[in-house]
Formats: sequence, C-alpha cells, structure tokens
Amino acid sequence: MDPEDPSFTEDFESVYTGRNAILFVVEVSPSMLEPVDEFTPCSLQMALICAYQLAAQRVITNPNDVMGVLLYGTESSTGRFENQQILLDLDPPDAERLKSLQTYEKDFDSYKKNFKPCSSQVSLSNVLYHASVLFTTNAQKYEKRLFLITDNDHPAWNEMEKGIILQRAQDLKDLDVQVNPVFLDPPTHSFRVNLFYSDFLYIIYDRQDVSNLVSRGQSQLQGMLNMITALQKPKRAHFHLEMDLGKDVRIEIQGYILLKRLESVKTSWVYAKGERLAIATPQSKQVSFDTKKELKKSEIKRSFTYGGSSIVFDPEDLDQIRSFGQPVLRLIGFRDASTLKPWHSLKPAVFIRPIENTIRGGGAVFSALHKKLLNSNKIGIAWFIARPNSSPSFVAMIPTAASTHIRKDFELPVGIFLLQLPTADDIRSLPGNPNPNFLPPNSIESMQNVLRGMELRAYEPGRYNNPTLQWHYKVLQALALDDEIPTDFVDTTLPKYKAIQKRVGDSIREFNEIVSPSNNDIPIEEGEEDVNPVAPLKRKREENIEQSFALEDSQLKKMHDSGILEKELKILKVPQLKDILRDRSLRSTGKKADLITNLVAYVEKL
Amino acid sequence: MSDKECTVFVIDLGADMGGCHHGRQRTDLELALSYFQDQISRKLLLNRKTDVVGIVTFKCDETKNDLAEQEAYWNINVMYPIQTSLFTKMQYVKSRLVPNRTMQGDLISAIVVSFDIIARFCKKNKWKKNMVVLTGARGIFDFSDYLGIAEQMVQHEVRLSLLGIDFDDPNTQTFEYSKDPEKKENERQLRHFVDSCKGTVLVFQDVEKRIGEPLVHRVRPVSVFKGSLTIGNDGENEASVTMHVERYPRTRATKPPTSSAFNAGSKLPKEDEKQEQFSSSQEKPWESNAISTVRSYVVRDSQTNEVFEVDRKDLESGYSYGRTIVPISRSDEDILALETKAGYEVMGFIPKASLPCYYTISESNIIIPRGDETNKQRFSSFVQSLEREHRYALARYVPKERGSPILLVLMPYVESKKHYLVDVQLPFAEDVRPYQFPDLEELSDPQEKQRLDEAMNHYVDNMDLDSSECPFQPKFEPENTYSAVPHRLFQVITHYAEFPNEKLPSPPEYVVRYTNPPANMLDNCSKDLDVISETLSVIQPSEPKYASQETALDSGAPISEQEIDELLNAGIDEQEEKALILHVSEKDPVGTFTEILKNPFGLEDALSEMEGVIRRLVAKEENNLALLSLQALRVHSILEDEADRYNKYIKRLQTDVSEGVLPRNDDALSRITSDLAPIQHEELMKARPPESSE
Repeated sequence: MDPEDPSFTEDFESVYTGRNAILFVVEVSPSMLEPVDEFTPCSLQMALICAYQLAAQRVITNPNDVMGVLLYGTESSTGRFENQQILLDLDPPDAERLKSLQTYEKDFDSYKKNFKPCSSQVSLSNVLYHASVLFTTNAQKYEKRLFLITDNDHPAWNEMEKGIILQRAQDLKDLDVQVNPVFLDPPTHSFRVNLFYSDFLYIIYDRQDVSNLVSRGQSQLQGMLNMITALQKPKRAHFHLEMDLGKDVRIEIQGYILLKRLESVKTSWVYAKGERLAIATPQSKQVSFDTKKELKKSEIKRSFTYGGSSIVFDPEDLDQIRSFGQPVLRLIGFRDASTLKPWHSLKPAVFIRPIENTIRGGGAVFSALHKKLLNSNKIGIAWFIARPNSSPSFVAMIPTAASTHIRKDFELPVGIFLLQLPTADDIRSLPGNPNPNFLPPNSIESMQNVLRGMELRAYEPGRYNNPTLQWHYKVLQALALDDEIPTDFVDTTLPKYKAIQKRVGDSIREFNEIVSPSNNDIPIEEGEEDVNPVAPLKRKREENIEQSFALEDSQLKKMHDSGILEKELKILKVPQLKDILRDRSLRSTGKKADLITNLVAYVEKL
Repeated sequence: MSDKECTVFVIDLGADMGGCHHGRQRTDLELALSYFQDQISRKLLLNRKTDVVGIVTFKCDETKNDLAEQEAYWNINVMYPIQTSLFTKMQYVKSRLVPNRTMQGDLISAIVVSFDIIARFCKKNKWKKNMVVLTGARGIFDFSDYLGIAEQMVQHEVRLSLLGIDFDDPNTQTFEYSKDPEKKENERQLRHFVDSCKGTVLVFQDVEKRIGEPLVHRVRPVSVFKGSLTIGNDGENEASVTMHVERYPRTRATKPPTSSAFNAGSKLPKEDEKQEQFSSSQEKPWESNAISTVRSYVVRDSQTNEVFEVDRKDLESGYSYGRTIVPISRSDEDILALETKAGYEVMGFIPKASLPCYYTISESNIIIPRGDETNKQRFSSFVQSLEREHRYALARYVPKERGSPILLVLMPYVESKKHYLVDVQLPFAEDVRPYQFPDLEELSDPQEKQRLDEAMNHYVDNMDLDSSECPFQPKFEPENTYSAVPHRLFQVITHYAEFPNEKLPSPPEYVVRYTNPPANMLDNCSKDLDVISETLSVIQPSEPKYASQETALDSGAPISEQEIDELLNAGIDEQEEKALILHVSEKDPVGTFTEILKNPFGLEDALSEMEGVIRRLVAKEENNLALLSLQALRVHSILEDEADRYNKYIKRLQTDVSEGVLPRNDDALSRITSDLAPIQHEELMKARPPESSE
C-alpha cells in the first residue's frame, strides 16, 4: 500500500467522536444496602455492577473516556469532603481500577463494611459541589455526564439546604454537565419525585415535563447501560457538503460513520530491556539510498513506474491530477431498489443527514426525498466526492425505514445511507461451475426443513459481540494485573449446537441420506473434451492423491498408528502436502519438512 | 494474479506502409502503430514481469534473426527479443518503426521466426502465447507450406490475430473494392491461413474503436479460502451437513497505481540518462534516485531525562487497556489469539427482507463447492433452498486456524443458471455507533408540503436512469463505470511518458460519462426543481456583533458613543426578546405567560412552565407573585378549555402546601383553598359563551 495516497489515509483516519466524562454519584444509606428481593442484590451493589460494566465496555469502544464513582453518605471519607468516598477517580480507567470495581461485582459482601452508612444527615449540595470540582479539575473539555443514583426522595432538610442544592444543580448545568438522576424506590414506599426533585429536574432539564426523562425503580438500573449508550451523540460529522439535485438546486448535508469495523490494535512499542519498562517512540526519516543523507521535503517527489522507467511528479501536481473537483453529492438519477445486487458491497455505508447552515429549507427537501425513495422503493444514484482530494465514486442512496432496531437500545436513525458501488475494475470474474450434474429428488425440500427449523427473526448487530475483541481485552486485563488467563470465555458467535441438534437433527439426517455418495453411482458424463490426452490422465492421478487424503482424518490416523505416516508423506510433492494442509486450514507455509511436521502434529492430536 | 502472457508483434515495415490510402491523412503504418502503441502502453502501465513482449518486423532493409541462413528469412528483423516491455527500450524501438525502402520480406517467414522465438522463450511452460500481425498485405508472400505451419501454431496453442489494413469486413459488410488484385489475393490467402491457425482476422476500422478503451486489469480468480461450510456440530456424534467449499473474491476495491518516493535532488540529469540508455540499453541505475525510510526507536529515561536509541528487536508490543499499557513479548502474543477452528459455520437463517443492504461492511466474496458430485449436490440444494425460502444464512467465518471470527451473511446468487453463494461481512455490536438524531423536519404548512412532495415525486420518477428517456450509452450499471482516480493516473502517466511536452488532456470520457445527470431529463423536471428551489433560501450570514466591532477597531476608525450604545442595546434587546418568547420567567410570570400564549403552539409550554414557576415562587415564599400567577393560570385555563388540568394541578399544590412539601404559609394556603379553588362547571359556562370577545 501507498501511504502517500490520500484515499488510503482517508479510510484510516480516525473520526473524532467526542470524549465523554461519566461520573456515578451513588448514595449510601441503610436502605441502599438492603437486598431488593431474594433475587436482586442491594441497590448499591447494582449501581457498582453497572458502573463496572460500563467501564469495561468503554475501555474497548471509547478508550479515551474518563469515568469516576463517588459515594456519599458513608461514615468514612477519602478526602476533604466528609462522608464522601471516591471509589474511582474521574480518570481514564486503568486495569487496577477496573479490577477493583469488578471485585464489588463479584464479592460485594466482604467490602460491605467499607460502605458503612453514616448516622448524620448528608448534604447533597456538598456532594454536587464535589462533583463539579471533579469535573472542572479533571474533565474540562469532555462531554460531561453525571448519574445520580439515590432512593432518598427528600434530601433537603430545610429551605436553605434546598436552595443550595438547586443552586448547585444550576452550577452543574452552567458547567455543561448533563445530570441524569436514577430514582430508586426506597423499601417503604415508591419514590416521590414531587417531594423535592421536581424543581431540581426543572433546572437540570430546563423544562417541566420530565417524566419520560427520569429513570425510576430498580429495574431501570439494569437498563442503565443501554440508556447511556443511547445518549451518545455524534460530536462531529465525517464530512459536510452540498447535495446537488440538478440545475443548481442544492441542499447541505453532513455525513456520519455509523458502522465501522473496530479492531484490537497494538498501540505502542515498549522497551523491555531497561531497568523499568519504557515506551519507545518510533521515528522515521527519509534518506537517499546512495548517500544515506536525510532529505528535505522539497527534494522528495513521487514516481510511478512505466515500463521500468520512473515517471516523476511533484506531489502538488499529483494532488491536482487526482482531483475531480469540489466535494459534492451530485444526484445523477434514480433506479429501482432491485437493481442493487447483494454483492454490490465494498465498504461500510456512510450515513447522511440534512443541515441548514447557509441554506434554509434543506431539511424539508431532504425529508421529501427520503419519503419518496422509501415509498416507491427506489434508490438514488449519485457522484460522490466526500472531501477535497478524496477519491470520487458512484454511490447508491438508500433511505432507512423508520424505526429499525439496530440494537436493543438503539433505533437506526432516519436518514439516507450512501453505499459505494463497485466499478468494472472492482468486480472480479466468477470462478468455475458450482452446479452438480443433477439433484436427487427432494434434496431441496429436505434442506428447506433445516432452514425453517433454524429460523432467526432478524439480524441484530447488538446481539453479537466480537469474540476476538472481548477475549483480547479480557486477556489484557489479566496480564495487566498478573492474574491467571481467564478460562470462562464464551464466544457468542458459535452456533447453538444443542438447539440445532434438537430442532433439525432429524432433517439433517434425512438430507444426508438423500444426498449421499452412494446415490451417485450413475456414471457422470464427460462434459469437456480434452485435446491433450495426458491431461485427463494426470488429473485423474491428482484426484487419486487428493482423494486418498481427502478421504478422512481417520486414514491419516491409521497411517500414523501403524508408523508409516511420515514415510508416506515424504513421498508426496510439496504442492500436494500444501493441499492437504490447506484442506484442514492448517498452516501451509515453509519447507517440506515443516509441512510434514505440521501435518504430523495435527494427526497426533486426533 | 494473472496468467503469464507472451505477445509477439509482427509488423509490416514495407515501403508501401508509408503511403496514405483511400483519402486518409495517416499512413498505413501510422494506423497500425496506433493500435500497437495502445497495446504496448497498457503493458508498460501494468509493469508485469510475467507479461512479455517481442517485436519482429518484416519487409525491412535489415536482416537480423536466427534463421537468416536461409534466404527465405531475409529482410526480417527481430527488433525486440521477447522480454518485459521496458519504456526506454520501447522508445528506441519505436524510433525505428518507420517504412523501409524495400518491398522484400515474407510475412509467413516472419511468422515462423516469431513462432521460433516464442517456442524458445516459453518452452513447455504455461504461457498464454499471442502473435499479433499488423500488415497492409501488399507484396509477394509465400504460402507454399502454410498448412504445416498452421498445424504447429495450433498444436502449441499460439493465438494468432491478424490486423489487416483495408481488409474486407464480412461482419459489417464493409468492402474495399478499389484495392489492387495482388492485395486482394494476399488477403484471401491470409484469411485461409489464419483460419487454419484457428486465429482471428481483425479489420482496422473495428480495432480503431478499441483504441483508448479503458484498461481493466483482469485478475484470474484465485481462492482465498478452502475449507468447510457446516450446519450443526461437525465432528461429534451429531447430525451435521458439511460442504467443502472455496471462497473467491467478488468485489475488491481497486487501488490506484502505487507511487514511490523519488529523490529529485540526486545528481543525474534525466536527459543524459536517457541518452546513455538509448545507446547501451543498460538498466537505469535506479539507486541514485531511490529513497529509503530509516526507522529508529528512542526511549526517554524518566529519571535522567536522557534520550537514547534502542534496537527494534528489544521492543515488545504494547497494547492499551484503558490507561494501562500491557507489553507482550513476541513469543507471548499467541495468547491474545482465540482458539478457533477455520471454516464457515451457519448460525441460523434470517428473512431476506430483514437485512437492508446498508448493513454490509466489507467487500463481497463468492463461495463455490469443490470436489465431488455429492458435495456439489449438497451445495446446490442449500443455495436453492435459501432461494425458495427467501432467506439468508447468518454465518460465523474463521479464515484460518486461530483466526478471528467474523459475522457473515450468506446470500444465494444465481448467474447464467449457476448457483453460487455470496458472502459479505456484517457488523458486531462494537462496530455500531449508536448515535441519535432528531426526527427529520417537514414543512409545517400542509399545502406547501403537498406541493413539495408532488414536485419530489415527479422529479424522482422523471429522473429514472432505466427509462427510455435516459440517453446514457451504455446505460448506467456498476459494470460500466470505472474507478476514476486509477484511470486518470494511468492516462496521465502514459501522457507524461510519451508526450512530456504536451498539455495534459482532460480525464477520459468513459470516466466522466455518468458524473452529471442527463440534461434532457433534468429539463423535463425543471418545474419540479423550481418548486423544490422555492422551499430553499440562502441564509444571510449574520455577522456576530463583536466581529463588526473588531473590524471597526482594526480599521482604526473611532466608534462614536452612540454606536457603542447601539451595539450594547442591540444585544440586550435581542436577549430579552428571546427570553420573552421562549420561557415563563420568575420575574414577570404573568407577562411572559400571556406572551407565550399568543403563539398558537405555545399553550402546552405556557401552562407547564407557569405551573413550574408557581411552585418555585411558593417555595421561595414570594406569595404575592405566586398568587397573581395562579390567578392568571386559572383564568387562561378556563379560556383555553384546560380546566381539568388546572383542577388537577391546584389539588396537588394544595396537598403539597398542607403536607408541608411546599412551605406552609397560612395566607397563601387560605387563598389557594378559597378563591383559586378548582374551577367549577358553572364558571366554565359563564366564561365561555361570548367566544369572539376574547
């Protein structure tokens, strides 16, 4: 790949999504330490579990976020604020902290004594003040969010305290902190919002009717993870350009990346030979191959090879050559949605929405277009240049239907997706003929039974976690804390074998009976004529070899058991060995001896 | 990967080729070379080591070939022995591709010479062998032993194509009647010969159209995975269906040609270099311009603050876990990998309609069965059952042992009655960014909205790319589009190499063909576009206040006190106006409340905000203001037919005051319980009849 190529860098450019600062403020009181019922642990533990799960999730998806947990109402204190404990500083979580949070999830009872509630009144205004201090010192530039988890519906003991609490709420709002209270029902009655909190809510939400914004009851605590994810807003658009409908009718749109493959990446180099571990910073410089002298930027040009010769360009000229004009989404026309083939896919689609910075009314036009496309099942075809210097392409404009659940906690927003269409250059020719000479009767019907038995309602991206990522971070946590590598990992993408067996085991057996080699004794007609008489012979020989090994692992095993495996393998040629290895998806690189070792190792494990 | 390809051009350089025929401005040779040039520059652009070229000329003054001992092979020149096409050498060869003085030299002998060099180059290895003959077919040719030669050509699979200038074209019924009898006879005999070689005769008019056609680099299908596709648990004593399959790329984004860094400051002037190569045909000493990237790693000692360079091999990979960086040595990196088995495993089947195509996040692949008939039957049944059930399979795919699993959708795909599966990747939970957006805006005026909707309907329907109105030739299909940047670069590289002093041409027509909507179709919906355009208005950029102030200061012009006053007051006015419209304020609840009520959509906001304000006023014990507000709320609740709401509110307020939730003030309590009590039915009747009065 060519790192100088702008289209290359474009794809890898990380899109700034906005860093979040999340502070959990949890009240500790005797009632918060009472188990809710025989199946549900106490509310404090629930809140801590929730905080841990959120942190564990964030460390994967938003590693730059900061998170903190502040308890109030405890007898002991961690700092100058009485009856307040900082369980987790408002910082990016490190392994140590995550681990300590996790222990509350697993072994709460042994820590319970640390959370002894104090006997005196605790001032909520102090707590909110403390929170604002934490935010201003640690998270000025973040998107700030505070979760207040309490079952005390009457925190103000007099008017003055009430006034101060409301003032503190206003302060937090002025600091741009979004306060989200989670009200839990105390054991004796259900939480009375009107007792104190209606004014509080009025301040933090800036409106009166907030009933739908407030989480109430213990069940809401469990839903909190979803709630937090659902509150995410894109911080910045991926691109901003004009959509041209023709004849200079233009509206403004912004593009967002809603789908992007997340991968675990190596983030730094660590020097391990010193007394302590240290981060090594990579540096690179471009030198002349001849003189080894470092080159100035002006000396470096780009060259293309043309029949072995270098055709040299100024980088600036090259930019100009590659340019097809200003960023635009130019509508060319429309087609039926069915013209889009299932394989017309190259990369994640980009999501667009209208905005009205300089042109008013664009929202209404966009909305009319969206509606029309959806109603008449059409797609737009457009010429699309996302940013100056980015490679232009043709895109299909596909409207999203209203309320499509993409995840339990997230409805796909209404807008239009831009799907890049492949060009003639991108389309590869189809490989050989997949069709059999004939199909045994009822084979399709029998397979249809299997399909019906393994029916899923729909694909929901939220249902499947990326097992590699989950495992990666689990192992990292264990390594960071010198723990043992976990063994309890569940890969949710593995098929539910037992259920499959139970539901379609019989249909599968039936299918296998219908389509089996014994039913294929009918001589197969030779389709192609071969000019070279050696070719079919040779092919037959290859097939023989292939078959003898394609046979089954059991054959290999037998050879191994009788001690002739290695001898037999040595007779084979390297390509044949490689085929055998590849069939079993084993590593098929290296010298012949390596190949044999690989295969023997595989057979030994059988 | 592509096949290995060997092409020998056999070019007629006879004196006759220098003439212009049939009123053309270009000589026959120029025509022939335009095709040759097009073919060569494709090869030069692709720079493939396994795409080799030879050039044999005949009817030339010089004789240079290995068979030249016999007189039959005189006037035949192997100008470019088979090798990769090198630009500098080609430049030299091209300078010698000019009409010679002679008419001597036999075409068939030239073919034999070419066959000879092909055979010796390719030997028994797997090459695609091409021979391209460019001739005007004049002069004396010796066809005496053509059958034997043709047999050899067929046997060794040399694909012969003969490009004849002014040949008759039976396909298009184009006949050239005025050609001389000798040429006519040659043409007849040549067709015989080419037919016996199973070759093709091309007519120049036909070929000319193909010059400048887009260069599409056809890639031979190479499987990227061989393994199993399984339904159920393979390997245990359970029922499962296993198919042996191969995975091939279906779409892959084409990358532009790669460039490398080039040291422009190096000493060798380009002209000299070329000169040198023309004479000695030496390879360019590329090292002089090459640039290498030197990587180094430095570590800062945290105590001494010293910086020192470290060896790459002493470094371990660091992975971030939150703030913690976990170093993992190379030998340990294996533990980060999951224990997985390679292959496709079906997780279940989803309705086709439940998967919109914007969920797919990767390039697509094709799956075919491999091996025996049974396997193909299983596969075909599987694909056809998916078709019949209108379902897609959801599968987990692991490309290699201990590889990362990904989610795929398997979709049936039928082309030319062949049943394939297509696979494309779907996102995991981690790959989804659950952003929220507000609902789309619509026009509030129903009439305007309808007008816009109708215009949009017409516009979309009239701009159908598949209608007969659409002038695109060929019609828009992804298959007819080309990747813009790679093709533009191909064009420019060739241009700079071949005509360095000429002006840069505009991008090829085939690249920009579909980049603008068809004008005639746009004209058909210009009225609709006008309607849409009426909805839109350009927002005048409102200069922030401080900006004007700043300019004034910058320009040095003094600001008068009046101006300052205006600036200040403008700000205040604007602020207050905003506040009045948006919220019920605690300072002037009744005034702001009635102001909001004037807005036809303000009722709900006004009532709910007023209710909140009153509560806060009671809480602050500002009783007079609270009571005044309550009165206003009561009156307007009657007028606006919101008595029920008021009654509910006042009851709650009374309870809260009496229970001490709100401060208990005897005066307030008595007022609330008496004259501001719930609205009675009679009151409603009284207040409402004169509907027009209010």
